[in-house]
Amino acid sequence: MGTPLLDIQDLHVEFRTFDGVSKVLAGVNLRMERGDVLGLVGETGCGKSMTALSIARLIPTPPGRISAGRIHFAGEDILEKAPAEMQPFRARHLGMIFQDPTTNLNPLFTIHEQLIDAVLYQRHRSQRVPGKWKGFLPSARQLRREAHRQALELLKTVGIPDGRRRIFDYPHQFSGGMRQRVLIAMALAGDPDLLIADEPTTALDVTIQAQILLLITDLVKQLGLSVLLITHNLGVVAKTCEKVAVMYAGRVIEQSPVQELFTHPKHPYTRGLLSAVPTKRTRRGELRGIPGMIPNLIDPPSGCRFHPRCPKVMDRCSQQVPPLVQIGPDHSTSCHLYSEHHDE
Amino acid sequence: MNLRLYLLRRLFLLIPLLLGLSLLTFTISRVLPGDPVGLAAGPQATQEIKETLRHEFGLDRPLPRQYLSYMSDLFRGDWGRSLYSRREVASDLRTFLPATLELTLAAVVFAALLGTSLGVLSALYRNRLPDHLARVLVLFFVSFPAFWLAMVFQLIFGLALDWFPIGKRFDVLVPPPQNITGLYLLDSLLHLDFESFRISLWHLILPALVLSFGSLASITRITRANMLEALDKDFVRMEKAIGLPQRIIVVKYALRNAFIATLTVISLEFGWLMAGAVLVETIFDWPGLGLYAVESSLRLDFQPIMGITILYGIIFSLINVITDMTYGLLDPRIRYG
Amino acid sequence: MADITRSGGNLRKGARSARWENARRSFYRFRTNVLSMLGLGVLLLLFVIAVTAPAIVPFPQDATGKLHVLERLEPPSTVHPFGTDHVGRDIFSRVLMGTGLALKVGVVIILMAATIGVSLGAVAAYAGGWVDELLMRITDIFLTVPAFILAIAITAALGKGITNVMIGISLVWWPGFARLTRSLVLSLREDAFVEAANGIGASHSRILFRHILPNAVSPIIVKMSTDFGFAVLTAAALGFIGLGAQPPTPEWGAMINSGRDYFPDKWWVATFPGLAIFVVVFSWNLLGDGLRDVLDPRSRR
Repeated sequence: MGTPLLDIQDLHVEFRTFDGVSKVLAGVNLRMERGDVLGLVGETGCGKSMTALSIARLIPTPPGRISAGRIHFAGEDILEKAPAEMQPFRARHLGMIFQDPTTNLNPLFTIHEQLIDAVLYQRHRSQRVPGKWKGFLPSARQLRREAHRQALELLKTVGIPDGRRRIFDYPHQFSGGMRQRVLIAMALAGDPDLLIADEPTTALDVTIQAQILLLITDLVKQLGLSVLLITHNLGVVAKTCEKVAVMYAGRVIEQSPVQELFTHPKHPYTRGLLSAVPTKRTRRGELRGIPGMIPNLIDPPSGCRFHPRCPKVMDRCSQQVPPLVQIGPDHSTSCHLYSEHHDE
Repeated sequence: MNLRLYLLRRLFLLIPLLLGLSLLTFTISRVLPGDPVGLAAGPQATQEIKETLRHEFGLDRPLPRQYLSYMSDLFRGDWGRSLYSRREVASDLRTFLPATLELTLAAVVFAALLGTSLGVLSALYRNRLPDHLARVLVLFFVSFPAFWLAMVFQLIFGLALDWFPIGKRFDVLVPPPQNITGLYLLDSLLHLDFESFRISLWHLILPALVLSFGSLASITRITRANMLEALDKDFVRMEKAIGLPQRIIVVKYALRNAFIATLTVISLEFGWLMAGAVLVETIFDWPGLGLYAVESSLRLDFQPIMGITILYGIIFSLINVITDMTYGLLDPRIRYG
Repeated sequence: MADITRSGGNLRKGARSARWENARRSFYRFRTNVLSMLGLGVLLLLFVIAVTAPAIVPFPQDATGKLHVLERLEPPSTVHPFGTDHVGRDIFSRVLMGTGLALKVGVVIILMAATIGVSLGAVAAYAGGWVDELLMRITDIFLTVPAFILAIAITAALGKGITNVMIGISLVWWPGFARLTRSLVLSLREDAFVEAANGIGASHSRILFRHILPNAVSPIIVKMSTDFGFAVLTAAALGFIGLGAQPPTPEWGAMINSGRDYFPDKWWVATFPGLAIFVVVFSWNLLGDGLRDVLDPRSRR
């Protein structure tokens, strides 16, 4: 088996707000092997973005903090690293893209400028990148020329036509889909081990969505990339991912291969989620939602955070947080229904 | 194309503004309670002289007529005469303007550099010691009357420590650089006269520094706010996620975003500084508009005072237009619409 | 039905107590700001000095015209803590006696400018149309000339004297308040709660006074507090140029001017009045900074 690429254990993240401490992540467990394309799904506010930001240690630390848990990346302990060490780590091992391609590119700089910096700092490491004044030295110019060449290649990889000319344009001169491709290029500039994509298609048109997802799938094949794809859209997961993890109110409540989740969902929340999505076979009047509302994270329900809305709730659910248990090869869930059976 | 139209429109809008300015100065000089003839004639004048002057100035004619002749005078370049020197105001203004411009520009540069640095520092160490220190420091310096601080600085840095000369624009026995623009620093560079450059610079530093203190507070504050906003933006998070080092993110990327918004404030401060130059020039014996203004106001020499007012108004409006232009040039969204 | 009215009453009480809670929290934050407290303390002290000065200074007549030419330009001593000026007057007494004047000048200017500016700005914003256009053009014109220069021009036209200085500076300062008020009122007018009040059929003046102005008050107060320092400095500057209070009134700016000729040998003549100005402005700025924290917490976040 070897070391998993990503191993998150019992991650807790808190945010200090005006009204109290919001326990945004309450014991997240997540595992990824090299080459996985894992979808992280859940409703808005369930903590999926927070999990991604924790891996990259990009949680804004004045209001937020990682209060407990472990994150191991390819054997390295992420949480032990000093903030200064995270920068080269991110450059070398991680690539991240976010939801809105418009706001994620600096509008005052050309794509060329931003892409070159991405290449320089990810591939060539910051120590060898000369400062502003030494930038006129021939060695520096050589470095930038090389970076430029690599930038053009990256643009080709992400499917931007006419990169040679367009690279000197500004972000606002690109369309949304193009911008997202550029962001993917920037994320991949350093040949990362893991690409974290936080709702990469949510802000795009439907047709463009399909293109971007196709691009990601291609890149996975081409580069042997591992991808953590965060989305609230089960359709996206079905199309692009091999494995999926479902989150609810700050915890991963089920993780399994994609097909199995759709055919044999175990956790009541997963079941509820799936029944809320219409399929070809859904008949009129059959669409059901999940009664109740997402819990308040400042004063969350005790025990299993889903218990107030769960159709299968038992006494135990409000008293004890259900542990994550394996119920099949690669299929685990966090629910007392199954931990009970497991005990037996 | 977008940009050019915008600029033309801005310049065009200047005209009504300047017209309005002339109306304002006209009102002040003719319509306000007070005795314009008495002012123009000087405190020694008799009733007869006042009557003659009244007729000479056309003050016995109806107001609209007065305004028209006032405007035509302005356009012809006749901005009146000083009571005491009998020199034409327009030529005096032309002589003294470059010195004040140079001083103000230097002060703006100082204020921008200092203010931006302090602002960035405050933003980076938000709510921690450097932030609080910067805030108090800036408040401290802005609370001094500029003319008083000028005297103190003159005393300490000029006389006591002898680091800088204590007055005037240039060394007394040496001829100043030949006049091209009137700005000594520029002229000496254009003549490749580095000795003159050094002398002018040395005389410039102390007054410009003292003058710049008045603007520090607002520039620091606005830079801090803009930096905080810039650092909060999504693309900064993206830049961090890519693995760019903090210093590049702050100094290269965030700062440029913040600075553009700061520009407007800096141009506003230019006006404030140009006005403050009046006081600083007095103390440092700097031969600019300030000295001219102070002497004129001490004697209530009215024509020069009004001339200065109009000139300042024109220059300030031009600065605002230039700032708008620069803003358009710097933001690629506007430039390449 | 009964339920709705009952909860409506509770809602109103809830809103009021929320505002009270907010006020208490703000006050606490203000109190813990050491520097603001220091500023406030110094200002209170200055106020006391201003009021009691004629009674406590050693040479009160020196501020009203007495001259002691024989004792001119004496350095600081136990008799004359700040020394004497070029006509032998005790600078310490004169500085203290001038405190009231300085404070009064600042307050009057700010109040006048704010009154004119806020009224005009609110009217402009609310009336809209040509009224708004006209007022905006006028403020634009006033703002083309840097404040100090325009103040010189207006004050020179009006004549010397401290009253004219106050009028002059107020006339120069009101456009800033007008602009601020106008943008505040304009943005608040769009706010939902005003739409709601309009929908219920509240009259225009009611909307203006009950809904818009209370929310506009904080930024205006912040501006008033920031501008006080500038007003005092500008007034002192005009005094320095000779346009302000006439001798023998102990106006600090004018005192610095008279001290200039003897600088730096007889440094005390110009130095102490300047320090006094600094103390007033600095303590006020500290106070204003704290006020800004309280009234506009966004600015510090």
